Amino acid sequence: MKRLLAFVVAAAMVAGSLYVRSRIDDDGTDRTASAPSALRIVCSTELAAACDGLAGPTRVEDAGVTADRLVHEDDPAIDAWIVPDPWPALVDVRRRAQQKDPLFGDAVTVATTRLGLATWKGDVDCPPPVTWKCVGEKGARAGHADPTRDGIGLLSLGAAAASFFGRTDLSTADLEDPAFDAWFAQLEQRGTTNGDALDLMFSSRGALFDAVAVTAIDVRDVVDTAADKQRVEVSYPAPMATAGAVVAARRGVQVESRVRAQAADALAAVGWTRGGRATGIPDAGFLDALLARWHEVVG
Amino acid sequence: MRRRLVALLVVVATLVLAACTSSSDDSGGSLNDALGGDNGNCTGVDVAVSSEKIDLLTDLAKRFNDSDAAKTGDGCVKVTVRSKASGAVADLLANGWPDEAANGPRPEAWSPASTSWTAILNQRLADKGEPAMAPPSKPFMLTPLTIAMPKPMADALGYPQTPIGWSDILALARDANGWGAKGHPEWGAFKLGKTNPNFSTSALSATIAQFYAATGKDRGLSLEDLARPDVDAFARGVESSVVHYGDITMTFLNNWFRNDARGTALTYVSAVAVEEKSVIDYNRGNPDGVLDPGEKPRKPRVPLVAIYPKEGTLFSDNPFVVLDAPWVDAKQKAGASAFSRFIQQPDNQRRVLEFGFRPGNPAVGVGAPITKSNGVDPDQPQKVLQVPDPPVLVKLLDLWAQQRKGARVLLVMDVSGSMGESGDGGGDTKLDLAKDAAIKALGEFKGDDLVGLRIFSTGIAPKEPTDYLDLVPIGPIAEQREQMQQRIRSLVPTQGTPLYTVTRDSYTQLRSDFDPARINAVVLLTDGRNEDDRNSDLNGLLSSLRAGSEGQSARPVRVFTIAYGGDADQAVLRRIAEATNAAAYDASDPATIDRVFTAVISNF
Repeated sequence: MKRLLAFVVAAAMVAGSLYVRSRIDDDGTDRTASAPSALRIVCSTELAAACDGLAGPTRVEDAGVTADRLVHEDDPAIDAWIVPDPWPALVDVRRRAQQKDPLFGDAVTVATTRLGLATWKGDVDCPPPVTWKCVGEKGARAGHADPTRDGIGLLSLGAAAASFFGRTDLSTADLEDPAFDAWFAQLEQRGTTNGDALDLMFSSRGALFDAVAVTAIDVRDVVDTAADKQRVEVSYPAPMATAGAVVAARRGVQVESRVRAQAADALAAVGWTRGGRATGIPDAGFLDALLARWHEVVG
Repeated sequence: MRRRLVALLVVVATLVLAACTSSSDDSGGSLNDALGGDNGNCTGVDVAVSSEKIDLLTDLAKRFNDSDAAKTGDGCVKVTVRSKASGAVADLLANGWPDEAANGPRPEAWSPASTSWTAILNQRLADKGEPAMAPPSKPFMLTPLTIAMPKPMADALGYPQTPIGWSDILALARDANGWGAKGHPEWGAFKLGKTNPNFSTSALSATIAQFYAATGKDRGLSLEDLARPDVDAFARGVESSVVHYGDITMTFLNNWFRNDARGTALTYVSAVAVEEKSVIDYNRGNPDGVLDPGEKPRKPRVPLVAIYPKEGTLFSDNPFVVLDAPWVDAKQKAGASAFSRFIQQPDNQRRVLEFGFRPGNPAVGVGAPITKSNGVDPDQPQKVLQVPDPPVLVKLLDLWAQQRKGARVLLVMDVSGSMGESGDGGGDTKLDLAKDAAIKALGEFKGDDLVGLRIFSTGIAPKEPTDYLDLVPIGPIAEQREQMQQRIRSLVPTQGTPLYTVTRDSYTQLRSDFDPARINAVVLLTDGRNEDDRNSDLNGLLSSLRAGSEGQSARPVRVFTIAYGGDADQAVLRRIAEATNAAAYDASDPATIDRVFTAVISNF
């Protein structure tokens, strides 16, 4: 009798958990169903975990590589793109500039992570919280990933510009500000584009980099586990920047919500926060113009 | 996950040139297999690694092969590491890795000393319309370039209280009083050891650092900077103090260590541009970083100090690259990736640290043996230089070829009867192969280098000395390159091998006409052992060579030896080279003679 009771209780718990989970998924779809998606999904490299968790045809590549393909190819083999926002909008900005139809419809944020600055203590003469604006003004050696290829690298560049102006509603006209021009040139010419900047800052004990763009995941995985973590300070300066991982569907394509849920689960497992929204990053039009300026500055 | 290596702004075109002119920077060009052999049922993964980390990677490969990390779902992975110079690998990969018999098996993964070499490879492939072979890859350890100097000399300069840089090296090189200006005339002139930047990562970094020092900048070195007369004078001044160049820093470190044992460390060289890791190895009694079976470390009597140049320096970042090459299959890629992850693990990064490198994984901090007691400073360098843009690097290497110290070299070739034996199992004799290699190597000299050609075999000359014949006297190579090539082409095998006599007389001749403004050297190629009843006094020969090469008043003539073919007396040739603080090269496989000759000529 006790065994039967235990079985009934266990069954009820399983059923209850499935119900709760289905409510979280918000569509009643059984996420445990393993039917592969027929969608051709591309994940940016920093969001590779999202693709790892999906059945069906997936591909992982740098956001900039995908973006180039989406802008230039007439029929890019993609149905959905899992990438930091606003890369899909950036693609459409560039397509419109080429008199092409925009490619993407809905872009739903499935996970977020904060963007910050890690600085080697004593290397940067800035009051806390250290800002990109101060880092650039002091001529510190700053590092961030390649904004033309790396999904987060572009956002870091945008966050830096927002830091200079103290706002995020930036337009291309702001790039004509001579003070910004001088500041941006100093920031990028003193700095180095390198996706391994955080590791290298530790390995070189601050010799290679004074300040490095980080996500909250980097802080959890690298800074907090580093032997020299006490020598690094992490700041999340205003305006607060948050990267959002979106599942962007190509126009006319329906992405099942279970795909978004699975992506969110996979990203949460590697440190992203489920849900939320991107903040503190200028819009795609500004970022596109900023990238053009960046090319001029770094040569 | 985001910490992926993105494309570096690299030195591409310049270093393309470097890679084009280089073919090998491992001693003798031979591969040092580690853990090689039968892979059994495992997936074999060959990894080419730069020579300074062969012991470390051998150790890590063994740990990996024995670990669960090497187990896959349906089998296992076996990693084999092989020592191969970064420039040589870039060159071979760009050409599809030809001739595995001579160059060793094609690697599935590669760990050069610096990411720059991967960019060079990809650029060379792109120039040919071929896809990139080296994807962005994560560095797994760092080591900075330093100027290694014996502690008494660093003390005499007031280091570290007084920062030292390339400008101080220049001042010492220019001072006619040498170390006398610092109160130590007994140390003689200031002598710099520096490898060839077309071959060696540390030399390339040193050359970049010298140019930056000349301009006073730490970033943005420009073509206009390089064209400045004062910058040119600075570079020539530093190069004038070089004792000789070469393909690997280990030549200097091993010679230094031998001199240390004899109490002559302070008069061999005053400073050598090497990576920090090498200073640690030297001070721990393992100068080349490779412990042979039975070899026990012996601490030097005079330790070295790593000077981090005050004008700034560069890091070697040691990426681990899983190659996108046509011969690498999916299983091998997966196996190589598994090894790449394995070496990033904290336990293995601690091994990295034990071997004197700075760990790439921040979870393992910089600590012992990177300590002041080992002559290095974990809190240095404070200033790091920017890698110049590709056009600047190309120009920099072009200029180095003109600014480097001139050479005065006697090429001494064995034409004994055994050189007529088959060299490649086909129609070419050993002499044929050596002739081709020598003719190609002549192109590596700069126009105002002085080069002569001597051949030797018993009774080859009609009158005394009968054991050798000067076909082309020492003179400007630009004026006699063609004549020398013709004379080399006409060589034929003759009699026996009067090795000791020709070595002694060649050395004596170079010493008697010693030119202090040049690198004075004999390049001695032989396929045999001494076959001369009239002179079999090896000890006498070595004593005279050593006596002429030591002390502050020495007129150093280096005898670089090439042991050619399987019958060459390698042990004797090594002793001859070591007696003159030069290097012995191994071309026991005649098929490697091209690469070996190129490596030998890199000394000039």
